[in-house]
Amino acid sequence: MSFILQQLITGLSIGGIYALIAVGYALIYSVFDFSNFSFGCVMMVSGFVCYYSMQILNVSLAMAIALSIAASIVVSLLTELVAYRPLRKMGTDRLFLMITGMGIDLAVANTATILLGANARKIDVSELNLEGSVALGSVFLTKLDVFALILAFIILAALYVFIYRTKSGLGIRGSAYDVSIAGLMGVNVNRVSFIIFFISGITAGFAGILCGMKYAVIPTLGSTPALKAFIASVVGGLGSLPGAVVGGLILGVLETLTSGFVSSVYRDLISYGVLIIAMMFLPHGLLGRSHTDKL
Amino acid sequence: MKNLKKIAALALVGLIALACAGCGGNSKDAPIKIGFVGCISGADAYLGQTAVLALEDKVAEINEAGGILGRKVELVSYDIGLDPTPETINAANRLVEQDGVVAIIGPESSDQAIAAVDIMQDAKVPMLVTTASNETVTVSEDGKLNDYMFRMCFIDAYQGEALAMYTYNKLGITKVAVLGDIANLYTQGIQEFFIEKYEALGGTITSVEGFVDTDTEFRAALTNIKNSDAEAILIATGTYKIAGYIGQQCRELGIGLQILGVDGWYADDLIPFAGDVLDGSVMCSMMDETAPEYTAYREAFSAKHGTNPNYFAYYAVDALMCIQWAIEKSGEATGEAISKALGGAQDIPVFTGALTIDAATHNPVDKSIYILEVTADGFKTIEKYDPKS
Repeated sequence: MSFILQQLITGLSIGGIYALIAVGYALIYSVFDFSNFSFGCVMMVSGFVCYYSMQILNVSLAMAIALSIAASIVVSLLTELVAYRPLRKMGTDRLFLMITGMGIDLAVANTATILLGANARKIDVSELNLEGSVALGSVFLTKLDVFALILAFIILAALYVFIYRTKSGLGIRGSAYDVSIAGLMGVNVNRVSFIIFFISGITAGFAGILCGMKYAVIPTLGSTPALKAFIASVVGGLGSLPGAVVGGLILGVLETLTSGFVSSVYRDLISYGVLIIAMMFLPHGLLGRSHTDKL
Repeated sequence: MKNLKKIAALALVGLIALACAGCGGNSKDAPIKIGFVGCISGADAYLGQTAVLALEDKVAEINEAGGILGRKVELVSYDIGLDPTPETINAANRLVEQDGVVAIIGPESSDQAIAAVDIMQDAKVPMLVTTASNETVTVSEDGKLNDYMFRMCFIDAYQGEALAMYTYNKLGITKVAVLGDIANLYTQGIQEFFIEKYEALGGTITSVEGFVDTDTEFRAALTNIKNSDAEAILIATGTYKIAGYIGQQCRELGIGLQILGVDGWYADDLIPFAGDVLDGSVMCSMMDETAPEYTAYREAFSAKHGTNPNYFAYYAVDALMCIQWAIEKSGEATGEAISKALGGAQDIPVFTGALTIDAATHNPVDKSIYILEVTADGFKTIEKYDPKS
């Protein structure tokens, strides 16, 4: 029993991070019908800012987190303002937007490798007493995992309230229904795009900090989680916010349980094989609905 | 307009002719060009960064002493760091076709070295790999010798078996779980030979778990290992970062088993990153970088370049000295002459000692293996281990 519990807790903590990134994919897809593939670099910038602000500016961990989030918002907004918006204005096919995102991601990660080196750096979490783990019988709860899971749920809950209980949220939902009609109805679409890139910058930024704390700060910090989160958002239903969260958690748990009960050697083969089969029966993803009812 | 086209075409032909004249690397006075292929940037830049510096120093030293056969030596380096395997193929093609090198030093990893085998064989230019330890680099799967491929390091079978013997005979551990990179020829080789030898000695492999090198999360596999009754875990990875992640996650899961490692961990950066969580781990290495015989070299290198040389640099210098030896012995600076001289050569004086190359496999003969302990302060040599003893 404790074995299953241990694996479930590990799976949920991984899934929580996937979910954080996946909601960014869902938000942007819901409004603009394309997937933003530059979250990896937002995560990376966030991790590096957290590390270097503690090392060079000697600020506290909490302050470093705040600076990282500010930096990730800036990077996320820059990708929208400098790359995506001008392309959309030119009426570019959305496939080109996705390729642009991939290009930004690779370029920023490679620049970081050249300028900062690829060495693994550790974010010191002792200040918030997040080191080590707590033993509950034979189950070990890593403090960082608990922190990550709670933080992920707080952010996701706040996002839910924002989208479904505020006027700006209504604007986003309206744009998700049909961005052109929303524009005609008086919704400021540029403001909506600013808000969704602002929010997805925050969520990817937190994911980057958590990955940096749990593993290491390296230029490729965001590459694998961002890719898996994209898969999670597809599984949950592209453009669906609850779907992204559910998809992220399912993916994390499925990977862990496959490693635990089948084989870690065949983990990706089996867990992604299962997902492919599931997608055959649910082509819109688990919670994805028709075009008219996203978010 | 027509005339303009003709002039342009003539100019182009002239330029090509000039370039071809410049390619004549084997004329008597032209410098002897030697290539280097390695990771100088990118995620694994630590593999090649000090190697290229060490080679430049050594080339300068050779040239100051009059060169080889009275000719200057020129090093042509290519960085493969951003996408190692395709870049190795590009670099190898460029070095043999465009630069006209007589031999290539590197790359560091087996996956890349194997990708270059056909190019070297066709061009009849020897490649002296530094740390690529998979057997098929020099002997193809059908047992045929790749006569233009040589290596400076020992092979995976040698390391895997030595570690199995040390674990069973010296550490007295009878049950081991294995956690290895499933997409890496080097780690799969070590893992396979370790398991085979360990079971032949009477040991039990309690669990075999796997990962890929982009993974950062290993707790599912570690939880399996924790439940598997193992006394030790062999972590077969080619990068220190993964060793660090696994050490950290072992601690988080309350796993206090003996950790066994391979020489892919051997990087100075491991210590500040994970020296504390891997404290007490035992690993194999091709050499002890800090052995007294290297102290003077390390100090001079560090003073000049601001960084310590690693064993990739030592082996790169070994390879250069082999090439120098072969050219001087054969009296000819061509790929074929160098290969012929190196196959079966005995006691070549190289930086790390004397090197004898097995004529049948092009592997070094009787290389020492070092058993190191990881501590929070650095690597500590436990002993120089001879698997035959």
